[in-house]
Amino acid sequence: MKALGYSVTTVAEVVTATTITVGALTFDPLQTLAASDYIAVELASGKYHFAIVTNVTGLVLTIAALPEAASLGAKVWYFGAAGDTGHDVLRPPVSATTSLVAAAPSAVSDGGYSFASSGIRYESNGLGRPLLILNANATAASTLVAAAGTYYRH
Amino acid sequence: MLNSYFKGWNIKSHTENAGTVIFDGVQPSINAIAKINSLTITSGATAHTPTG
Repeated sequence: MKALGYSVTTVAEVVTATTITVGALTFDPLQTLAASDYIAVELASGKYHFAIVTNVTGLVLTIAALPEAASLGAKVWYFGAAGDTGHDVLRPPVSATTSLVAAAPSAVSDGGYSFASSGIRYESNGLGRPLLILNANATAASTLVAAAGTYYRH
Repeated sequence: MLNSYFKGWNIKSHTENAGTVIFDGVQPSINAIAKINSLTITSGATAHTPTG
């Protein structure tokens, strides 16, 4: 899943905080962050922390406890939901092992995107954006065997 | 303009099933594009839709 937008924290958050306050809830394409959406929070160390939103009240998001503090103005990336427009979706055959390999500089997927929705084109080159690999299957057991990639800049 | 790969990442043997999330975060100071170059999925006995 790709980060389809971001906001920043408007309040500094301490370690173990379970709420974060952001400046806006919108992300591409014209969506509003809601419960069950996936996000990533920039921690004070510079690392990104993955979280799932369990509640949204105004501009306050409820998540599981932060593993470390987040500074005022920290980026909060919005992935939205697995079914949102903009994500790459892979559908391997039933009862089979599927390997997808892309020779550099191409990729199976990356943080960038370009898609049209309701006549408007939404684009990002993906610089600095986190990625999620999500097995969204809810019923049939399956395994993400391996994933490998690179950080790329130009 | 030069292109460069300056750091690789590798995740193996994630055997969790439904709801698996592998998160890869690029530190802001790196200002890079995270790419998935290979991905292997073993699917279950009924149709499902892993999402990248």
